[in-house]
Amino acid sequence: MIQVSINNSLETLDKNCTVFKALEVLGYEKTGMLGVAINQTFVPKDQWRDTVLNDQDKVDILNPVSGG
Amino acid sequence: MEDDKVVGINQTTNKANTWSAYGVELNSRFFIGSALYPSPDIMQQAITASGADVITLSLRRQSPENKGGEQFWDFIKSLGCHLLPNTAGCHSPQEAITIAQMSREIFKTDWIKLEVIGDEYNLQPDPFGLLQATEALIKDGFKVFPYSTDDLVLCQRLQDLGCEVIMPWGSPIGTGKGLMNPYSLQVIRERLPDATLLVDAGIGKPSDACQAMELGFDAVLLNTAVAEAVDPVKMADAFAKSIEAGRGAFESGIMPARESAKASTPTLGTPFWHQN
Repeated sequence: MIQVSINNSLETLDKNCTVFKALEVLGYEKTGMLGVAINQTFVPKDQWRDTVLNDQDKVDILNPVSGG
Repeated sequence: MEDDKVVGINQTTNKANTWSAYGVELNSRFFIGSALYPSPDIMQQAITASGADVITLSLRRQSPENKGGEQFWDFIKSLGCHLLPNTAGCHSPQEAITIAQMSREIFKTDWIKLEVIGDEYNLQPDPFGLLQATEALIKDGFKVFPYSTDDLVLCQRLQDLGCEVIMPWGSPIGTGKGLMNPYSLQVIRERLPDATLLVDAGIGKPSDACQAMELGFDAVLLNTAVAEAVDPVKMADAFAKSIEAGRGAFESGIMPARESAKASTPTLGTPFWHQN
């Protein structure tokens, strides 16, 4: 198992868990308006299935919100 | 950008004076933010009343229960405006670059309102970080709308890097203090005649927006002054009129101010002249 920070909340995931799988496990709507970054580096949607999370990674999952 | 621009109600607004930003033809010179409104319904009404065809929005961490910000996104789509995502809250070039890349994928636009904050107290842009992020993003194919201070040399450097649009502040974000330094803004206008210039941030009332347009700015971007008005819908309309009035004044040629009075009524034939 690995421990990963998801939006600043600690989550335990299977070793070799991909971004795609993590989103599924955590209940995110993968077809929705989501953006993902790992350790402040953008991960394009077409790389979610191939990108494996590592222990202690810091993942940001962002959605559209209002802004000025 | 904008291949799959959403069709909506604001596209029905057609005015004679179109202009463009990064080659995209626009009808309105009013860019409006989507934050701080009392309700989504009032946001929609206010943006419609503004006549704006560019809306700013952002990205934030949200829980899975939010279902991808779907409700907010549905409201935005229904407006049919061009989208200008921002990098609000970023304090380093790397943070801003990452948010810009995420925004491009999510919103399907290469436009980015680039904010790199240097000071938390007045949310003042970090000029060094702004230049660094601008350079990287332009190399990556973005059309950058940099939120900058009113420093002439910074604006020149942003233009040198390839920014066709530059957005100096009127005053700090959300203060409503208006144009703190009209002289600086005027000098930027005169020294960068080919740049598309917007005043972004600090505008509090319609006369502030009008003043920016009278100085020859191409457009204004604001949010709080409309969203936090007692009646945001009516205020959006008031701003739209003031922006149009200011632009009209600039295009008409404003008379130079004089130090002494000059009568406008003819003096020839003045009654009672020399009777006493």
